[in-house]
This record gives sequence, structure tokens and C-alpha cells, in this order.
Amino acid sequence: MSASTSPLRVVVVDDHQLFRAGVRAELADVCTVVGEAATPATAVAVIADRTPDVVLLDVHLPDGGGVAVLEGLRAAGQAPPVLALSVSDAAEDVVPMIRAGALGYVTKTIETSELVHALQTVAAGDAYFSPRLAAFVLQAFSVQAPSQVSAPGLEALTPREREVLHHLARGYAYKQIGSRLGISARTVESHVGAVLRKLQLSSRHEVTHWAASHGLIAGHDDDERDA
Amino acid sequence: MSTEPIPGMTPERVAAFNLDRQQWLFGLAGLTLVAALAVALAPGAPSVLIVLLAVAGVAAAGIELGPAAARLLWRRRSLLIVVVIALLAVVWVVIGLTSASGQWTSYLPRFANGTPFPFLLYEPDGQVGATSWPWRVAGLPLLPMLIGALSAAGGLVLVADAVRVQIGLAGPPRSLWRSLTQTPTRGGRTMVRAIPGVALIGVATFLAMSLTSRYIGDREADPLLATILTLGIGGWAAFVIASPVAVGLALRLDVDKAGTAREEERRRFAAHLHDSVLQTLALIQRQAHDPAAVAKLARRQEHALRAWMAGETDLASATLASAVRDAVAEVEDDYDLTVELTAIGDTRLDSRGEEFVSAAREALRNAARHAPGVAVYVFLDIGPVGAELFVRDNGPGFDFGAVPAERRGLRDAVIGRMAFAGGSASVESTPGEGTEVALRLPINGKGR
Repeated sequence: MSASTSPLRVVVVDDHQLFRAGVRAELADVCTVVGEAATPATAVAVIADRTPDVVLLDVHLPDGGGVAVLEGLRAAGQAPPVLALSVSDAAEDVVPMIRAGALGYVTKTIETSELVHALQTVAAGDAYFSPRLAAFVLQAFSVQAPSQVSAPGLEALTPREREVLHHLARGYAYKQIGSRLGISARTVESHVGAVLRKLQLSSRHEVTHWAASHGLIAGHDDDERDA
Repeated sequence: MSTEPIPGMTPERVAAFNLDRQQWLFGLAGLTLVAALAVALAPGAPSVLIVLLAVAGVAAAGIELGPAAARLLWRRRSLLIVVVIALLAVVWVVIGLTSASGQWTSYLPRFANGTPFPFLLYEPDGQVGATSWPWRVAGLPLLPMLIGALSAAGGLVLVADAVRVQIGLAGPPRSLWRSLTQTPTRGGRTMVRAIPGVALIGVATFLAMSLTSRYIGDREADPLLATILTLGIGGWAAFVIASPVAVGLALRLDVDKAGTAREEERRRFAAHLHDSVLQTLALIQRQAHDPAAVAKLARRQEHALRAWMAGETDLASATLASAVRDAVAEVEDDYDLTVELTAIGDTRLDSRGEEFVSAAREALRNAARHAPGVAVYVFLDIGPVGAELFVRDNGPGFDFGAVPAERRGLRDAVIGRMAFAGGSASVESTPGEGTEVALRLPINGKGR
């Protein structure tokens, strides 16, 4: 990661005030938290007002969850880079967020340095695929995956893309993957970008429908245990 | 009322027999009524006089008893149903008696052979008032039908109430139904409702039977048909009463079952929280001065709670993924290591799977020993063709071929074990690039 010249401007969307305060303190050295929100409606308004470099968005929010924020932003014509985070790490929480437009996903137990790295990566417009996210995405594209995780209307991954995701899931960095596969780190990144586009390309309606049919939009906390 | 001392009576017994003025009047009125009915039922009795006598008796009692009765009825509103129907029946009897003018026997329904049907029915065809209210409305005998319908409805209400109270399904506390009938949620005397209820249903059934048999009798139908009709109506009434009871009992069973399950769930939940979260919180309080220990405790508890929420702990390592999770947690605790574990898919744990987990544990221990303080990633991918597990660290790495003697742990405990289980293991390490141990267990491989 390269040291940014000016601190990243971040909006934190989470319904737990304590968590927002914690993030604000944690990121104080590297980022400026320019706005906070606890609900999708206020989140969209705050983001439109502050135009942050990156949005840190909780998956589980009242009134539709993080997916509702992403859809609200899309409807409002806003497209700030979004890093999703949640306490749970269930594939059915994470994959819809990516499909709805988030560029990365981390769990709330992530170390500060890694969180900063993820925020910087996403703020630069690149995908941040943690090993866990890579595994979930791999699962989403798998035809044999249980219906809760596999999503309809997905274009199949190329063998190379699958290989890249597999390496990501195993904890390899882009550079390491590149040298193992005999390609450049930049090419690895473009493969990840292609995977992300394949996830996000399907129509908004489809994602909404899929998320709703899996109970991801109607409620939030209750769904955590439905895995 | 003053009481005269009676020999052999204790004060309590005296008090029990001590009637006040209202009770005397009530008794008197009752006796008057019984006497009036007895005289009225005798053939050729001057019924108008008798009825007047009865009404006078009731009125005399009512002046004294009225307010008390009103209060009683307001307190016990379920009685109101019985009283309203009884009053209607009295009106019916009175009108019947007055209009029949002593010729009441000719209005008994009869079978075709002339035998009177054993139920009273006043429907004076061709008599005074026969075509006017309240005898007939649109050609139907209104009053008997009204009494029958009210009796049936009231009886069903009371019986249903009794059943609902008995099985503890009395509905929401503020429903119209319950404010009308004052059904308690639980307990309460069910017989208070059940007996008048059954009696009212009986009255309704008899009325229905006599109404229908009257017409059958008029049209010279045979007694068999009347009997079949009677049985049919009785069966219908039984069905009407029995079906809510049966449904209620079935519901009660379900409610009990759900309640038991909920209670068990709650107990299980409480026990688990006590054993895990509360213990950890207590430990954290005692080690608050040691941030590292607190972080470790919190992380360990987080793992446990997460696994429990995912429903894996209950299976007690009955699946491969949960067994790997346990092994990871174990090594994390033993070596103060942080492992990023990602698992997709799952399968049942068998003996080959146990070997797989043991090999994974050894690979993790190896990483913990030789790459202390760096991030370790575990990726478990269980698919339809088999299970794959990758243990990767960003540690110093080594040349696996060059230093075999020092890597006996990996050779025996990981590679040997996997071969034994019918799978395979590979170690990939480059100095400066970290190490990755890959375990593969095909689903249809054979253990040795």
C-alpha cells in the first residue's frame, strides 16, 4: 500500500454507535471520518452531501441492510467506492453486497492495518478480495453450490479467473499469485476486476429479487442464523 | 332476618340455613311458578288465571330480586345467555297456553298412528293468531325457530367456552367474545359453562326434532322416518360440538409441544451462554490488565460463538468443517496464533475425515512453530469430488527438499497420514515466500 498524500475521507455506515466511534478512533491516523449514518436513508443523504473517497458499509442495517444503501446510491446516481463489512461471515450476507456494487468485504474483527489497506484499495477503485470473500465468490459461481449461495444469472468464470480466486482464498497476495501463475500482478488485478463485473453485471432487479427471496432485504439480524 | 335458636344446630349450621328476605321471596316465587305450571298443565285448567298468578309471583319476587339479579347477571354474563333463552321460552309457553285455552293436548305433535310425539310444540294451525306474529313470519313458525336457534348458538358458545378454558385456549384476552362471556384464560369452573351449554343444545335439538316431526306427523310420515330424522339432527349436533373440541385438542397438543421445545431451546441457550460467554467475560474482567490475554480470550470466544450460531457445535464435530474449525481453534490457543479460516461446503465426518483433520492440525502446528507471528490462512474447500485444505503462511519459508530431516513432522504426520487415508499432501515452500501445505482427500478414495 502506498501512503496517501491526503487522508482518505470516509463515511461510516453502521447502526452501532459504539462501532462507529471505534472505527473513527482507529482510523484517525490515516483517514478522516467525514460522516456517519445508522440507516440506509440517512446513509444515502450523508454520502451525497459529503462525497467521501470511500464508504465503510455494514451489511446488517435496519430497513433493508447494506444492499438497500447500495441500491439507494445507485438510484441517486452516486457511485462512491464501498467497502462492506459485517460481524457475520455468511456467504449469503456477503455475496449480495458485492453483487449490488460493493468493491470489497471485510469482517469486523479485521486488524486496523488491514482495514486501512482495504479502504485504500477500494478508494482507488480496485476490488478488495479478502481470502474469505474470494472463497464465497468462488462458491457463488459454483454450479454445485447449495441454492442459498449460488446466484442465478451468473456468467461462468474462466479457468484462469477460478485459479486466481482459489489462490486469493488460500491467502496469496496479487504479486504472489502473479508469480505463481506466470502473469503480472496487474493482470491478476484485472482478473479480479472481471470477476467483480460478472457478479455485478446482472440486472439490479435480479439481485433484488434474489436477495429478497433469500430474506436478505426484508430483515437483517434474524437472517444471520439462517445459514 | 332474626333467627330462632334451634336445638342441635351449631351457629355455623344456623348461619348456613339463615335465609334473608330476598331468598324467602325468591323461594316463594319459585314455588308459585311451579304450582302455576302444575295447574296449567292439567287438562281443562283455566290457564289465563294461572298465568296471571305466575306473572304476579315472578313480579313480586322481581321487585325485590331484580337489582340483585341484574348485578349477578352482569357479573356472570355467561348466565345471561341462559336467562334470555329461558325468558323467550317462558313467553312462548305463556302465549301458547293463552291462545290454546286449555286445548293444549291437541297441539302435541303426533306420529301417523296418533301417538303424541314426546315433545311439546305450540303451533296452533287454524287457531287464533295462527297466521300472525309471533307464530308465523313468511309461513315459518318464528318463535320456536328463534328459541331453537338461540339455544343452539348459546349452548355451543358455552360448551366451546368450557372446552377452551379446559384446554387453555381461551383466545386473546380482550376479544369481544371473551368480554361477552367472561371466559377466563385458564382455570375457572368449566362445569358452570358446560352443563347449561349441553342443556341448551339439548333444548335446541328437541325443538328442532319436534318442529320437523310435527310436519312429518301432519303428513302421516311413519315413525321410522321421524326417528331417523331425530338421530340425524342429534348426530349433526354431536358433530358441531365435537369438531371444535377435536380441533382444540389437536391445537393444545401442538401448543404443548411447541412450548416444550421453546423451553428446551431456552434452557440450552442459557446453559451455553453460561458455560461460554459468561465464563469468558469473567476471565476478561480478571485479566483486564493484560490486553493480549483479553484479545485472545475475546477471539477464542468469538470463534466458539460463531460456530455455535452456525449450528456446528451441536453436531460436536460430526462434520468435517466443524472438526477442522475445532482443530484450528485448538492450535490458535496452543500457539497464540491468529488463523484466518475460510470454509466452503461441508460433509459428514468419517474415519478418513478424521485422518484429514489430524493432518491439518499437524500442518497448522508446523506453521505455528516455523512461522511465528505471521498470518496463517486456512482454506477448506469441500466439494462434490472431495475435500481440499490449504494451510498457508507468509513466514520465512524453506527448501523442503534440502532439509528433510528437520521436517519429520510434515513427512510423517501430514504426508504419511494423508496417504494412509487414501488422499495426498504436498508441501510447497520457497525461502522468503512462505509455505503452503495442501491436503487432498478424494471422496471415493480408499484408506489403507
